[in-house]
Amino acid sequence: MTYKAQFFPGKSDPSKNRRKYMDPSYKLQKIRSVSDEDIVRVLGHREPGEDYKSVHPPLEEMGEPECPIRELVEPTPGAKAGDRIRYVQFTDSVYFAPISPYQRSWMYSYRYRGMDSGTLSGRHVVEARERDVEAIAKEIIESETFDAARTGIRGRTVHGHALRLDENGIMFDAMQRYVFNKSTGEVQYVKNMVGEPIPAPISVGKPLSEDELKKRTTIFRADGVTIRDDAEVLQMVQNVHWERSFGGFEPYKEAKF
Amino acid sequence: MKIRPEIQIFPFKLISRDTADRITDELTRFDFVTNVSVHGPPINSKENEDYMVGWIWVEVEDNNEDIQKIIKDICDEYLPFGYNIEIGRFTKYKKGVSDYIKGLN
Repeated sequence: MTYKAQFFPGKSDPSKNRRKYMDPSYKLQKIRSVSDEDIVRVLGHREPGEDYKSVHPPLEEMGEPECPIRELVEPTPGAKAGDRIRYVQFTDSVYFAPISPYQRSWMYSYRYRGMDSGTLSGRHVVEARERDVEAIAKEIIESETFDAARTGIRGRTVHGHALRLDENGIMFDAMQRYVFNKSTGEVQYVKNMVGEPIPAPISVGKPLSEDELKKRTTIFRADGVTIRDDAEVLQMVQNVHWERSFGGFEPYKEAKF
Repeated sequence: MKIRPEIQIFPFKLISRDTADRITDELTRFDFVTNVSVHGPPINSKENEDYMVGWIWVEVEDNNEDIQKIIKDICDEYLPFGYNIEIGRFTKYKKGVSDYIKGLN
């Protein structure tokens, strides 16, 4: 019998979405299109068209030592070319963002190679070689895990994921990197990830409606689907809690829930 | 010294400075309103120090149902997404120890 990963327990909508995003065989739905040049501008690590700076010569020229692991593992395009390590960071609102930082970490670990991800309460940073970062950022920004209003691309001053939304339903951003265009109903990035102005606004499309977000979210919330509605998830959380609280204390004792 | 009560308006969304200004203008037209203060997180919009408003404190002469009704009517007009109203004292009304040290009156 071959092992089939379950990814996440439960039958509720957030559980299904978590499973879907974590499953690498599921192709993320593309809901908007942003050009490569715009992605480079939003990230702000280099000018569009500029060469990638490198920290070491390409692997082919370096003459690597003989090593079975190096033969086994195919380097990523960025590693092959010797790119610098760069990052991209996303902030996810607590108000039914399509994905939350912890699930981002799970999702990235299943989907991408050669990256290092860091999870914080409201934001998620992923570090990788420069061209890999651009590829990851492009896929994420164009996919269903990114909402124009509830997800932000923020390098610094990330504060705002747990604040009230503004009058247009946009997540608070102290640096005003993105603005709501009332005439088109779209959200436009007017500054790059670290708050430097960019030559032309970059549109990331219209924000999703509240109902649509509630269907797509991976967040269990008291005013949406609570974790108590899903017995299987609750059981898993209790198992984890019991095992990390009492496992080290009296491990021979049977778990009691 | 008479300590005047305050009515706190807590909108369910962070409102822009323009909306807050309009509410403040409406409120200060009434005689029973002695002071209106607003508070919220700062934003750096177009290099100007700007802020969004999350709390509005209306200091009133006397707290009664008529006054609350007038304030609620104004809130219903400008805050269609909902708000909470609380009555109490939310800002400073007399000087404290550190104010004595600084020599403030």
